[in-house]
Amino acid sequence: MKDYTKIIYTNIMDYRVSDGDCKRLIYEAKIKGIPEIILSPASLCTAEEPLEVYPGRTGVAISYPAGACYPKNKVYEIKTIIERFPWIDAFYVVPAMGYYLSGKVEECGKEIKMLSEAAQGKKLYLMLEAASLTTEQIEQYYKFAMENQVQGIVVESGFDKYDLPEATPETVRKVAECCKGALEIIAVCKDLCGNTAERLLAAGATGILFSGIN
Amino acid sequence: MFKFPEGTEPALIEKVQREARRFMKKLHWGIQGPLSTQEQVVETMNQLFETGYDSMTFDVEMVHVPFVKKILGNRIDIHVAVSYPMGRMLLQQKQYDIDTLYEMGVQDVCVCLDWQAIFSERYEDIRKEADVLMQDYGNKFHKFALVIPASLMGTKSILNTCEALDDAGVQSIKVNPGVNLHVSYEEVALIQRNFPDRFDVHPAGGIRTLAEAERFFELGCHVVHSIKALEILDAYIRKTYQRYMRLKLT
Repeated sequence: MKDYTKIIYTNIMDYRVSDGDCKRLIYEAKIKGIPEIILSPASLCTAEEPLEVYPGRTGVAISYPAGACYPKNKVYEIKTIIERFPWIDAFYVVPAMGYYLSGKVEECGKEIKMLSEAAQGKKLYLMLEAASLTTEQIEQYYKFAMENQVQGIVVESGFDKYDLPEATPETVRKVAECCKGALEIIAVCKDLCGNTAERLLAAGATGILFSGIN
Repeated sequence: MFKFPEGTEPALIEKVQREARRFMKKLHWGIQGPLSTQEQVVETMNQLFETGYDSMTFDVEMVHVPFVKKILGNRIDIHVAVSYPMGRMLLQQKQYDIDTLYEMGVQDVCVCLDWQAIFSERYEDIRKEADVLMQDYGNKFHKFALVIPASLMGTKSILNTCEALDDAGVQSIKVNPGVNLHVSYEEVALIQRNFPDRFDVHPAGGIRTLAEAERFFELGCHVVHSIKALEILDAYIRKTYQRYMRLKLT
């Protein structure tokens, strides 16, 4: 991968993350010209100083990686983060997909609406497990997203410890077709060597989420 | 589930079943994960009911608690994990989530400590977080365990973390969250050896057989997390029956 302008660095997918790792991730992102980083909420507490010199956007993961709590808990998490870290630029939220798959479609639509309101105009992204969803289900989330000023969809959480199917270029293509160019589509890439990232971009991804901890 | 051979004395069956009931009350059972549905939760509950034995807890995600509570009532404690599995939510968020669970009537909770603090060796921060959690919730639940990623920690780090938890008055430590992190006998033995009779240690991750579960019980644990809990129970009933039959023959 030669072009870093589409890369998003993150620490959210890794078990073993230290303060030093976060600091290095931020400095590396700055040096490489990576336009955005996404951190875990607790990482923000120790990252404020290194982030002062980082010119890109900073996002934070909400209810990561399971998302299986109530909307009010996610709203509280967003509000708390805005209060404590008002400089945050974007929220990457895992919706309650298990609840959605239980047939609670209307409730899940309300969830996205509540998240959008809580974000107070800051960018909001939904982290789906698109490889486990049907085209109709992805379309439904697209509809929720469009109704609630959601900026984009991350096609998977990237948390591989759950042993869920990984999103392939085909998954990205499916999501891209559902979203018809109206939303950003972020794919997860585990390895920037080789051409995987390029294949994901060619399939319709507008950004690549990559663990900057490795 | 193990079927007693025809002709087995009812008294012996009752004896084995009594022991199995006691044994099963040391095991967690349930279904968690981002895509777990109500249908799967019901199926998992039915698998348990079909055995005729109640587990110590039924483990689910927060969104499924209300309907599980309706079915289980107070028959089996409900267990929910907070800030799972890496503990990298803000403490304020963990408190909010625990409050939610308490209001819902959840009786058994485990909370992941901030793993970034652990991997950064910020033991004073770990102590402070544990202290707040214990002060607020230490006596509110039947079990309230704090989770450490022991499999990713060295000996010194485990001991320093346990010392911080000891200072904070922590009672129960869950050693690993599961989720592809497998507990070892050494980690549990290390804690038990250095903090004798101090912590209620809950091993989790990769415990798949009765022999493994029993080894952890021998190491002084009273609770085991295993996705193979029903197979382990089955093996326990079989083994207990065979033990009594051997005794009878001699």
